[in-house]
Amino acid sequence: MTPPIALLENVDFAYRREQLVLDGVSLVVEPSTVTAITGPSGSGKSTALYLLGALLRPTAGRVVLGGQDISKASDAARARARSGDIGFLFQDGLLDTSMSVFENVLEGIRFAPDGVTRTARADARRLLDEFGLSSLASRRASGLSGGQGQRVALCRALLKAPTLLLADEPTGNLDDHTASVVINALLTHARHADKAVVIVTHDERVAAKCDRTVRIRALE
Amino acid sequence: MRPLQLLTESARQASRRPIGTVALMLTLATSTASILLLVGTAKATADKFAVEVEQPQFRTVTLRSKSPGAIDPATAARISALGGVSDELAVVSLTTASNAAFAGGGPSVGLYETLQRGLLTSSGRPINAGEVAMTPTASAQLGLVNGVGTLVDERGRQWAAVGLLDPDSDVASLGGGTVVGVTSERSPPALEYVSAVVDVGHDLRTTALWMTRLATDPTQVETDFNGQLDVVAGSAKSALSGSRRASARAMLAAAAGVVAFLSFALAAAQRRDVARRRALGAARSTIVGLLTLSASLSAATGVLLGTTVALVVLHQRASSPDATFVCATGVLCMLVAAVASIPGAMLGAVTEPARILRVP
Repeated sequence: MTPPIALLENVDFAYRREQLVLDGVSLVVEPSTVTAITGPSGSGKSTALYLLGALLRPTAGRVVLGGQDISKASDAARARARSGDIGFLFQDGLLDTSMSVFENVLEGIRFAPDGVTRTARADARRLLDEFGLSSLASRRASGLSGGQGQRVALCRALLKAPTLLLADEPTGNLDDHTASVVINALLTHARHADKAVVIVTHDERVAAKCDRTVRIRALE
Repeated sequence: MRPLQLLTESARQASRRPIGTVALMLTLATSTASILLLVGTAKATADKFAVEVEQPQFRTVTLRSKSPGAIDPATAARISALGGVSDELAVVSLTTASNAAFAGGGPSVGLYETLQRGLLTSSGRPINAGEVAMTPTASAQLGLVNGVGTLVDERGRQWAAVGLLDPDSDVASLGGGTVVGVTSERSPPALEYVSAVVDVGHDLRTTALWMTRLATDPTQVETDFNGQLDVVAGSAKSALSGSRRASARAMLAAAAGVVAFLSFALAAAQRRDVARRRALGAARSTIVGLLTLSASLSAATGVLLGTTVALVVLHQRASSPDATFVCATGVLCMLVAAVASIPGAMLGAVTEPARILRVP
C-alpha cells in the first residue's frame, strides 16, 4: 500500500483561544489524487489547507507530511518542507509586482535548498512557454491581468514540482478559459505517481473535476 | 539561502520600498555627518588646544631657593638627569656685581656656568656657559649694541656681553629680565633657582616633586610651575571630550530610534511580501536576516553618503579627522542601525502568514 502524501489526524485549530475553527478534522491525501475541500465561508477550509502546508500548527492532533509529523517540528524544518515538497497557489496569485514575470516564477525555488540553478531557469522558461507567457517574461508583474497573473503564479508553484500542491480558491477571480487552464494544469500535475493536489474551492464545477471532495461544516 | 543570494535579495527588498529606504538612508547620512562634524570639530579644537598648552613656556618647572645654599650645582646636575627634563637653566644670584656694574639696577641674576643643554637667545643662537645676555638698558649702560665678546671686569670676574635679549622671549620669562653668565667662579656658587623644561607626556607635578627632593635642603625650596594651566588644559580637554562623547551618544541614540521606528513601519508595510516568502519556504530566521540586511544596506549607503559630506565640509574647514576615527564612526553607525532594525525584522517575521494570506 502506498503511504499517503499528507494527512490531518484528528486536528483542532483555533486562531484565538476558545474560538475553535477546526474540531477533530481528519483528512488523508493519497498520491496521484486531486482533493477538493469545500464548505461555507468561515468553515476552516483555508485553515485546513494551511495546516497541510505547514504554515500553521494545529492546536491539537497531528499533521503528517511524507511520513513525518510536522506539527511539532521546528520553524526551520517546516520552512524546509515548504521550500521543497509543498507548492502554494493563492486566489490572487500573490506575485511580487516589483519583479519581472520570469523573476516571479523563479521565486518558487528561491528558498529551496539548491536555490536558483541553471536547470531551474530553463524549467521556468519552459513553463512560461507552456502557459503562453513567454512574451511577457521580462515584463513587470504589475502590468499583468488577473488571468495572466494567476498563470504566472501557477508556473511558480509548478517550478519545483512539489509533492503536494495546495491551491486556495485558485479560480476565484478568473474567467472560464483561464480557470480551465489552471484546473487542467493542477489535474495534470496530480497524475504523477508521487504527487497530489488539494484545492479549496467554492466552485462546484471545479470540485466535480476532482477525484474526491471533502466537505467541511462550519462549527456552531 | 546562500549568502550572496541573501545579499542580492536584501538589496532587492530595499529597492521595493524606496520611500522607507531613502528615509533610512537619510537618517544614517545625517547622523554620521553630524557625529563626524560635531566630534571632528571638537576634537580638532581639543587637539589644537593641547598642542598650544604643550609649548615649552607652559611646561617649565622652577625650583626656587628660599635661603642661600638650598640649591647647589650638584642639584642642578641631578635635575638635568631627571627623565623628561629636556632643557635646564641654572641661575646664580649676582646682586652685588650687578649693583656695582649698573647704577640703579641692572643684571640681577646670572647663568650658572655648568649650564648643560642649549638655551636659545631670541635670535635662536644658544647661550653658552660664561656668556652674557642683557637688556637694552644694560647694554646701553655698557655702551654695547649687539656686542659680542666684550669683556667686563668686575671685582676680579669677567663678563662677556652676548647681545640683546628680547624681554618677551622664553629666556626673559625664565630669568625675569637680564641673564648673566659667569666665566670663572672660585667656589661653586649657591643657585638662586633652577628652571627645567619638561617634555610632553611627563607630569609637571611629579617632576616638581622630584626636583624638591633633589634639592640640597628640600625644606628651603619651593617649586613654581604652570600647574593651573595644566589643570585648565586637562579640564578643557576632558570637557571637550565629554561633550563630544555626549553628542555622539545622543546622535546614535536618535539614529537608533528612527531606524527602529522605520524598520517597524517597513516590516508592517511588507507583511504580504513576508507572508508570500514564508509560504514559498523562507524560515523566520531567513526573513529576519533579509529585513535586517536590507536595512543595513540602506544604512551603509547612508553612512557612506554622510561620511563623504562630512569629510568635504571638514576639508573646507581645513580640519582632517584621522582615518581610524572616521572608520570607527561609520562602523558604529552601521552597527547601531543593524541592531536597531532587528526588532522590526523580528516582528515582521513572527507574523503568521496564514492570517495575511487568507482570502475572506
